[in-house]
Amino acid sequence: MAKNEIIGRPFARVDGRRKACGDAVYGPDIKMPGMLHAKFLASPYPHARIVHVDTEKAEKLSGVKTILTAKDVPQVCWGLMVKDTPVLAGDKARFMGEPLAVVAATKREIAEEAAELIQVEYEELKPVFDPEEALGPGAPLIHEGAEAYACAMPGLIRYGNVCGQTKISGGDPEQGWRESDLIFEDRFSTPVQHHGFIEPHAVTARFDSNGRLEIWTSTQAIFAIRMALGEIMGLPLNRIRVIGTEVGGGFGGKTDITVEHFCALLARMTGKPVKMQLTRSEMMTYTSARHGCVIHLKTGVKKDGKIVTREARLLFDTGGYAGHGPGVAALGANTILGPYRTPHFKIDSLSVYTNKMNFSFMRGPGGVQAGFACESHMDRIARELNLDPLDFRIKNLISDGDTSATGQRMEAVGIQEALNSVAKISNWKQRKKSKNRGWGLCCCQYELVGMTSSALVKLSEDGSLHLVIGAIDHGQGSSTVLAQILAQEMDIPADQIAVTVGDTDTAPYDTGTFGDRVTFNMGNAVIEAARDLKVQLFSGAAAMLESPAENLELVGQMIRDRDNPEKAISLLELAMGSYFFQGGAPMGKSTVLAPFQAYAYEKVEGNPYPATPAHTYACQVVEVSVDRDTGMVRVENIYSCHDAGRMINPLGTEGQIQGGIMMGLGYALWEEVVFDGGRVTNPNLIDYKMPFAINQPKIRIAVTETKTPNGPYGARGVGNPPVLLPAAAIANAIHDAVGVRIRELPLTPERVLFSLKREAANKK
Amino acid sequence: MRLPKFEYLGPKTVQEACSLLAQHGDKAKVMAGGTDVLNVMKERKIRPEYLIGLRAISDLSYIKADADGIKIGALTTLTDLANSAVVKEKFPCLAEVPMKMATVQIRNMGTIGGNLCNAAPSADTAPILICLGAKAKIAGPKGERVVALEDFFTGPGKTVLGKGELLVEIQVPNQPAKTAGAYLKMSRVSVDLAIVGVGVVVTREGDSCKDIKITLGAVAPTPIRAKKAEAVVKGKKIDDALLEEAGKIASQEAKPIDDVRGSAFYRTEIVKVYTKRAIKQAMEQAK
Repeated sequence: MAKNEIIGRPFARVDGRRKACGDAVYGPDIKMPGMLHAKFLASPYPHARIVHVDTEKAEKLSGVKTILTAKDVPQVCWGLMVKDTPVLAGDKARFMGEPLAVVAATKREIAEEAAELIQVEYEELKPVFDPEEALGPGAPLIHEGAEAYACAMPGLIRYGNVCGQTKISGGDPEQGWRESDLIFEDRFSTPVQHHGFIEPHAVTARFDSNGRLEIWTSTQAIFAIRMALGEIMGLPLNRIRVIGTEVGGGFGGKTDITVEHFCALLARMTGKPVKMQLTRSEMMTYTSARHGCVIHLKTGVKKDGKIVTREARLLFDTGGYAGHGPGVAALGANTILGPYRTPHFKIDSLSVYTNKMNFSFMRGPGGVQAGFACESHMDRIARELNLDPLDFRIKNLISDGDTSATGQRMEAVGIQEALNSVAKISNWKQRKKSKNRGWGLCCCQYELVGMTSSALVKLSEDGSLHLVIGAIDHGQGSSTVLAQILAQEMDIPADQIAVTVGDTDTAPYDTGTFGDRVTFNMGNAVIEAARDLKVQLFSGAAAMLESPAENLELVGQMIRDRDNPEKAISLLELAMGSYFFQGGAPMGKSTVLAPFQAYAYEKVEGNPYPATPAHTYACQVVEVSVDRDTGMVRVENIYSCHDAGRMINPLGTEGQIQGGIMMGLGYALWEEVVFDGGRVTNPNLIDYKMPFAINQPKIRIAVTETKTPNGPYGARGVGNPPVLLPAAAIANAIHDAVGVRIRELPLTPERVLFSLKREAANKK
Repeated sequence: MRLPKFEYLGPKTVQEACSLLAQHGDKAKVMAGGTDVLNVMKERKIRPEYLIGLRAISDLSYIKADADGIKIGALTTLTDLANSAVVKEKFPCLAEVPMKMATVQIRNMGTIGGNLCNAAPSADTAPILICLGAKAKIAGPKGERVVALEDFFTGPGKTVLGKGELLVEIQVPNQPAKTAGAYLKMSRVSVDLAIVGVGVVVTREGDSCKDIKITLGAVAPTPIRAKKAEAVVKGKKIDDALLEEAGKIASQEAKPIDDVRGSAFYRTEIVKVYTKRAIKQAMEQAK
């Protein structure tokens, strides 16, 4: 590491102090004079025609300012992919918990009481809850006339209850089956997972006298919120200002509008600021969660363990509205082969409407479900071929120059080195096998999201630097990483850089904080903006120093002539000179759309997303012990290796990996939003169980650095893969420990015990 | 969710509390630590007009030892119960129970009386107290009465407390020599309600179990004694076959239901395993 190298050095978070000291302002902290409080009325039925809504009684309640029902709000359908979502349910409700009416009142309690006083006459319709049933003949149609919906993304395949379908094929699967010595088939199913952020969704909206909308919201993507609000409110985007508050956890659950439009409409109607903050049970019955999924896998292999062919079918239950479902299904399709060379394949991945809440993004969408299925299936094949699970994987791993399922030529494939590294730190080859203890292995290849990021770097009058961006740091540490990148480019200590996450008025455009995209895309944008600034600085300095600009360099906050180092000017002097005499205020700007290889569209149908600019890789070894009498699984050790491309901030990298593993551990062992028909039976954190600190096993992390050619300094994202790993690794370890293969998550003691008993009965 | 409207009444004495309870009847609800009652009020499962807070009654939080055993004031917090030197010395199996309940913050607020009066089938303090033969002292308009804790519960959320009555004290009698107990709790993660709780107290004589009480939690409408399983073990030399048999019988005595925390099938299995393990553990401790 060079003396002044800032990239790769551990840095404390730039937002750490204000968060630790409690002065960071989160969504629920926003308060305004005269502010009203809003509450929505949720449908008590999963599928029902709304015959009549009577708000008379509720309107009479003292303190109630206005009540909006479907007839009072813009008659637009909005949607992230399919425009299928009314502002408020009008003709019918498609899930239990769907908002039918919103109330604004002087107090939250009054709004709650008023919502209960609204009388609704329903006519129940036959619901469908299971995605497999929803595809069957005679299944109730959840969206009649869906073919008339507009689509925000091109090329979606839609029919019946299917709102998106990605089909990918390669080679000749029929030939593949003929060439295979052995064929394995499995069915997996995965549960709905709640994001479990501490901070609830909280939004405050107001209109100023000029009819301009200002909205404060805890979100991961201010510009995405603005776009959706523009569509719903019928306002040009320059008349909407979205201000992102600090975010107390996002995990994909705060990428889209939830109640922003309700607050905006109520604010427009009442002329007062309106605030809405969701309860845990509203979050767990109305806002998004991770899709439940059913996955069928069929794989043909040679006796020596070479994979020949695979057929995969994934059914993502997307609930009453499409949300990001079609995209999540596409990500599942792209992940289901894993990082393994598969000459022939046929993948079919569907996003299916059911009468449940709208599932959408959650950390590692599509990949988490597909990863569990693919890696459990791989483990089974290895064992039945009597191959070590590590050797079987190594035999099939892809490497640079291979082609992905989607037809991209793979480069900077980091999985081989990561797998070697995890084998080493876990001592895999010498692992000790004792009674009721077992070891599991899991790999993953996932994709990061590209799309536009822009940055602005301002040189202040005193020569200090200010980075202004529109990418929210929702706790993952992006602002710190971006400060480091700017510091590296400008050769200045990172703690002297100020980072402002601006709002949609003040910051240049960014697509949002999700899909491991900020370090990668905004990192590139910051480098570009810094370079743009340097061009301006060198040009200004060239005139002042009477040296050619190409001779100049920036070192230690001085610009100097490389050949004639005594010819130098400090950033302070240069700033003063520029501001007052020549050139104006220096300001570096950039907008970056990372280059990517297009998918091979003759092989890929129905994928709504632009192709990924880079893949991500990780692998994990887990050691468990199982109590055979109770089914209780104890995770003894986790060894996890992640390819970061290039670590920018090792502290942040490790934090992301640790946190992601815990989220994956919760998904593996405990977390499930339980449905009884369309009703969530555990919409609270008493009965929805997330791991506590005390449940954290020993986690040992290794990071490899296979430089990504188009990432900043070779970096790629590390936030999603940690969540993809634990479920399969633990399920595989349970199999190793006690001989049962569990294909359904979470791996609760009850499920493990039941499997053990069934296995014992089968043996008899 | 916010609390619905209610009027807070803060009696200073037990007598005052009882008369307020008698006056308001079903319209009133008692609050000790508030860790259960406030949550159900927020969820609108109950809407009392009056909330009778006991915090101002200072003389209900105590742990006293006397010749008969110990007496625990109903407002004693779970933390105080866990930290009490006298409880640790005389009934270590009771002192261990609070540490298996909730979180530090909730244990600092929640009380033993509240845990019992909330009368959840899964109440963690009940099984071991029942095994120890604890009694509940109840104050009321007609004076005081004492009932065996075993007879205190009448259904989920229901107790023998009549109109105007308040649980004021738990009395735990001294145990014979070579007596020890164990409480095993199956839950999903470390901080959770019990899927199954098994309390066992044994009196040991050599390798034999001279006396035993087994109480099961979360597998019936109230905590229940597994008397048939007790009969299998009582007076016998303990070996694995006998424990196996006791577990099996206890699981037949359990009447669990399916809920979001666990199925009846699983609860039955866990009663089998935990009864066995709890007896074994208690026998070890009683050496």
